[in-house]
Amino acid sequence: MTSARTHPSTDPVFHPVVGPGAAFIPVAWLVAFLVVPVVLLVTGDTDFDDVTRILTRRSTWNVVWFATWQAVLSVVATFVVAGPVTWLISRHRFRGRRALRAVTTVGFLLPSVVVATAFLAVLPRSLHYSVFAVVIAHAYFNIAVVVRVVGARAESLDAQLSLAAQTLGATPPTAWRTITVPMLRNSIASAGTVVFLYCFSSYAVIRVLGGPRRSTIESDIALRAFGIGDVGGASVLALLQMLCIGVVAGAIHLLARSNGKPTRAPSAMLPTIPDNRRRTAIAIAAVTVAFVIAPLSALFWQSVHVGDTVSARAWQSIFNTSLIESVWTSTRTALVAGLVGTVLCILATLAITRLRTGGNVVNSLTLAPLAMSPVTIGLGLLVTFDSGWFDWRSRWWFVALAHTLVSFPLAVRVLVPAWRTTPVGLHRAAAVLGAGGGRRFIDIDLRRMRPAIVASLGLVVAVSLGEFGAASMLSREGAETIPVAIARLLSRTGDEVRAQAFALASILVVVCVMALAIVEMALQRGEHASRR
Amino acid sequence: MRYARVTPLGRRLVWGIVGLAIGLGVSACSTVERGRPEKITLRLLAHDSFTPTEGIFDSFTDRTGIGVDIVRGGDAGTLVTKAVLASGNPEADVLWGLDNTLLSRALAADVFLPYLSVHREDLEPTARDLSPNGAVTPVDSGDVCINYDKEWFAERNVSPPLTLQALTSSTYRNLLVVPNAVSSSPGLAFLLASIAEFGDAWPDWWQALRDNNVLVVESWSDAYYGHFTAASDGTRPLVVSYATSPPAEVLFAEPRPERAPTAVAALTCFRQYEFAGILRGTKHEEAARSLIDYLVSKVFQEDLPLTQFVWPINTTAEVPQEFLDYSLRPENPLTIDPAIIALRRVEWLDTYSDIVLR
Amino acid sequence: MLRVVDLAVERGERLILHGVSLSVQSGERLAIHGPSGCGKTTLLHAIAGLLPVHRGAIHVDDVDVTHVPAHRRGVGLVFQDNQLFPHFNVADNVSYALRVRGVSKRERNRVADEWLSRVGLDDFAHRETSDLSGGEAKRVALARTLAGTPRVVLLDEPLTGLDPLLHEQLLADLRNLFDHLGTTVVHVTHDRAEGSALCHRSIDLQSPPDSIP
Repeated sequence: MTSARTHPSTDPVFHPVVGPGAAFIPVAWLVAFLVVPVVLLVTGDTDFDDVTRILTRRSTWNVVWFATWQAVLSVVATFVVAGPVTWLISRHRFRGRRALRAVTTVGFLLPSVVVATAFLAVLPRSLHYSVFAVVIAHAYFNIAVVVRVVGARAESLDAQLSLAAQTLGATPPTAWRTITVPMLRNSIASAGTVVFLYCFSSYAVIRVLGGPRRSTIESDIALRAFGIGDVGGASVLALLQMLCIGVVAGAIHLLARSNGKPTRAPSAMLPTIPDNRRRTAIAIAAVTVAFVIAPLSALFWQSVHVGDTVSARAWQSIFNTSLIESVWTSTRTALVAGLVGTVLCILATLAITRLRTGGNVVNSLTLAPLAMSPVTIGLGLLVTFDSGWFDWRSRWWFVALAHTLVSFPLAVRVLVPAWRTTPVGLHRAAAVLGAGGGRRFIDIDLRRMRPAIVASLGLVVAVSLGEFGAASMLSREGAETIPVAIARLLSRTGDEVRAQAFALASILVVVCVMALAIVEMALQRGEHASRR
Repeated sequence: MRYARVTPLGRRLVWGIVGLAIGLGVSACSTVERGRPEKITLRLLAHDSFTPTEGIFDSFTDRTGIGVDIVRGGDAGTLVTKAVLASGNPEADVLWGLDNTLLSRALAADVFLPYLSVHREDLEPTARDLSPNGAVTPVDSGDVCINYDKEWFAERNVSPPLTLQALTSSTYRNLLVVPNAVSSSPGLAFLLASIAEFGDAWPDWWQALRDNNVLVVESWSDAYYGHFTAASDGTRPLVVSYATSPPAEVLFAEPRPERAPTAVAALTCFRQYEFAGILRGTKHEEAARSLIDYLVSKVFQEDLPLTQFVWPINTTAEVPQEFLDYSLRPENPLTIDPAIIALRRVEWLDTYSDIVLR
Repeated sequence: MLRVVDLAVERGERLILHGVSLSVQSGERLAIHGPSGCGKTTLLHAIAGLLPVHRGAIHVDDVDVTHVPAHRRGVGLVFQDNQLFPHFNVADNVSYALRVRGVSKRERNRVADEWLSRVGLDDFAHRETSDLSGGEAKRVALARTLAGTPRVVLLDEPLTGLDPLLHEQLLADLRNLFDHLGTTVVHVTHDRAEGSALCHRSIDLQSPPDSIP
């Protein structure tokens, strides 16, 4: 790519069409709806007494400790579950490889509420509300992180390096230990970090599968704000969680040595599976597929059972009661969040890739929602926009607004790499042919980026469909999103209510799969295009 | 290099989504604009166990022309928190089910419009005086007590516990299930019962209870229908529930048993009053007042015992004989002044979770 | 001494090598010529033990190593694209074979310095591999192979892609080094002049009958 040579912003032709202007809108959006509310939450409703009160409690630190060790355990479990299939997919060529990889992605793309609910359906009662349930559910949706992050790196590793080591006398295990693992270290560390942070601030899984005695800081924020009604204390916890996430992310960023200079072009072809490994390979694939499919099948299965008898009552009652409203609410919210969010993320992406100095600031700002966590964001919006013209609590788009914020980190991460590949040469050519800045933006950038844009649209829609933390803070009675409705159903007792929750979760699975089919289609198109 | 192209299907989907979203936006706006004046329908926000007789509001609607939509929003604690956070821009017009353990929190946040009901003189004075200016109106009362499975204890020839103190004895090890005080209002009532009983020594008692392997679950229904031996396939014959749970066991059963399979330890009871109030920010204050009057009227109050297993607050309401037959009304229930609850609730709950939940 | 007898290598259904026989005396340097795609690299990889052999035998110092795994053959290979370990610096690359044998860090550094000096890269020990030029990288790859004291060194197009001046220089250095050490070398190249300049003897590798050149 020609763009690798000069920074786009220094190129007169490649000059930012909507540069500072593009930056203004998403930055203003994030500042107004993310930074200001969270700052107001933390400063406004909290005084020093709250800080000492919360920080001197033994159980605050117990919560921090539990959040930490269950996250560590979840990371280990994730690697145990995902390791073999990552090795299989990234080091071999075989029929069905693509499909297998798609299967491993399922968990990550499903709403956490659905994953948790599915484990409620598949696990025996004795394992409900246990650390095991929490950890295995975390592993379930983080498989994809390992497969994608470590797998991509493993795939690009030149297999010959390990052969070179063998010609120098290293046994295959030694070669693995001294060559392959060290070269994967950074990707393992970054996958581990992502999984850790994800599990550290887990909410839906903890709430559905953890039982009353287990709490992460995130679920404690929600419990404190809603259960106890102590918003001051909740904001101290929110601050504490931000600090923890910041410290962990920072530490790992520093520790991860930058020895991971990308190796050159990936080895041309992965080897096929040798005969003596065929059995292992089939076993790994089968176990992985079963692990992914089992909870979902259990979900469907249990949704057509009330108690031990087959019955469509749960489905009927969903379509006959206000529960079906939640499907409508979720769809509406997701579409609006998807459209608005995608436009904002495109503008943010332009700013990140085109601005010389401001780019980094915008970049960190789009990552901020990760540290602030959905529950905090929801709570912040709730206490900030509550009076006069700015009383938005009963507006139907309030949840969608929160979802645009929550999806920033993911959607921008999809758009930026695609955008960076925009060739300066094409811009020059178009300019020489008389195309102005706006024209070039439409003809070159937007057109080339279409798959990435569709993908990010699908992602925002999927995030919004499954998002639970912020929605649980902002959803109003009679206008709940599906995940909130599921959690409500699960907090009640009775076989039929439970079956309803399972049925509703099944509906959400279908809706999400539909949204994600669009993403996958678009991404595949994109891959084809960039290969040519 | 060729430009990436989206498939025709992909393109159609994108435009479909765009179109749909625009359509949604337009329709959402237009419903707001076009809302023509019609008869008022009030939203009555209640907790999940608000289950009056179907059609009970018909006579009210016929008489006043005001419709009533019941909206259920989780347990009482969540309702109050949400009401506080939504203060001034409420989710409904009238709230049902705030109880005296949570009362102070709602009153402090000033979320209700005061109204003195026309039936106020008929209401139980103790309850009425908890809200002297009529910010909220009491609607029913009940007692939260230890319930036990009579058969379970009879079979094993063990005598059931009579007091809270007894629960920490090794005889009752592994037998008790309680709802979490942080997330459930009977759970909180039970915590308050222990505070009323033991004073400042209550944390020690809870520690002993924990050492005796008490099971804490998220909600009352989880405790009662998920773990209580008399109502589920659970393993716990002692549960925190209502004094009116035994009659419910009888009246809901088919066929009706001679005597209730469960009973109540009368000395463990904490009195709960439930209240209803008009949410500040309602556009239909007048109509909401009529609804409050209806909720404490004789007609509605007499419906309560057999549908929700609570005692009416209106002293002129007649309680059905079958309800009286099986119910126990503790004479000297434990209680704590709501003002003190207001002052120390968060601190108590923090201490409680330190002991019980971690 | 290296002896290859009637070697055949298949990849999938395709026969890459067929009936290849050759023999190299101790201290001798043999050049193998052949058009691209005729299986030169495959032959080297088979000799090094990186590819399974379909038929035939490979002997090193009169020991049949046909089924001995690569790491126990004592055959060194300088890869066409070097395959330097990107996460190690130059010295650690060069001394890797000693590390595998459990040699102490200090000794390894000494040996690395020694070999780097022999290939004309004094003071390169602490460089990162990504900072090396093409010629430097090739010298490091060579030092890495030689530091393992293999009985045979296989060179896969060692001078391809270097600019003419560098090419001449490196060729001369290699010849001097191998003369000095008495290394047994099999040198694969498409360039006849290069082969005859470095080696004592050369043979042509024919494409197998059913392969597409």
